[in-house]
Amino acid sequence: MKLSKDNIQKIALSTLMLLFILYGYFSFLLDPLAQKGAIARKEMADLRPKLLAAKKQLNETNALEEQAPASQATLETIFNDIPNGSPIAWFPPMMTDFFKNQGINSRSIRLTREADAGATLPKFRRLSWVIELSEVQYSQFGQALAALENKMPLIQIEQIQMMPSTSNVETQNVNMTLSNLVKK
Amino acid sequence: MALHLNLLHEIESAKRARQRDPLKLGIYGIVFIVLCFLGFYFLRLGTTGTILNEKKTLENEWAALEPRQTAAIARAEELRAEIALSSNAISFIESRFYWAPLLEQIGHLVPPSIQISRISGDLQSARGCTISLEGIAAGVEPRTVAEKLRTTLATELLAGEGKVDSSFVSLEDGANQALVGGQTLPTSIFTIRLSVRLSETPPAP
Repeated sequence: MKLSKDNIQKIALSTLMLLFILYGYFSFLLDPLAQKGAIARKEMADLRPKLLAAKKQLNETNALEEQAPASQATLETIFNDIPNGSPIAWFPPMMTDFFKNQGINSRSIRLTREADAGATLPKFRRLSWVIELSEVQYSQFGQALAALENKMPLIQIEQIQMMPSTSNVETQNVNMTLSNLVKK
Repeated sequence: MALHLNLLHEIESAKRARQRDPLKLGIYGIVFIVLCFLGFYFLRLGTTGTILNEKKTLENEWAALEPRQTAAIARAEELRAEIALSSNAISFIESRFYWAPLLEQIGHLVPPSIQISRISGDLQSARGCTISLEGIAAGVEPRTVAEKLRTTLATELLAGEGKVDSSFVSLEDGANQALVGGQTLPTSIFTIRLSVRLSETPPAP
């Protein structure tokens, strides 16, 4: 079939129209849609790990909430055992009474050092004391020491010196350095 | 033979020419292609719409979770600090060094022929200390009596609950004699240094 000039022009025009339609279709419809989809997929991919992390965090916090009451009760018990007020006001009388109940005279109780208890015990201070006990028998002192270590869990004895008493050969004088934890 | 004349020849030729009009055929083709493209577009639009809905659901979920997560992080920090403090306080209490049992054992191990005149103890760590014992040993051979005390302390003190190293800091003949069991015996003056290291398991409080 031989095409006339008019027909050739019409075919050329149709081809041109098709090209315009293809350009418009891809440029204004399909590509923006594909981009929108790709962006949404990327944002979803970013969001999913965040959501998982958030859910994990909530579960962890819930698990900690379950553990916390026991720890809080322990801390409360420890803090309740520490009298309120300045330790220099309550510690020496408390120790004097303690040794008196054990039948031991305490000659002096002095505060020698005061510092933070360290990074692991941030709510505590550590106080060092020197306690001088006079005319105490070895076995009597041993029993008092055992009672002290068992009844006062926040006390750590750091130094003990026992030397003969000048007034009574049957007894000793004792110097003790101990530290105790108190509330900040 | 009869003559057959087609008087509509020209009309039919014009009709055929119209039917083969390339522009019209082209337009049909284009319309078909456009319809296919539109179909594909709507298919993609549906898929993208589903994705966008899913994204919106996730965004809503995130908007609800994010403030809870921020609060949970702060609360977890607070709880961890409390739990750690409680655990460290318990650890401090349970890992304390107990002097009373040690002094009791020393009291039992010193024989009547030895008088301890001075005891000094220094805490080295939660599981160890050094103890210095000064005293007078009386016996036929007082140095042997002192040596026996040193070895007894090294082997029997703590009795398997730790390690004790004992050494003489000094051991000298005493100037005086002592009366032990009705006998007057020579004496020696000694200083024994004990290095005590408890085993890693803390004693029951």
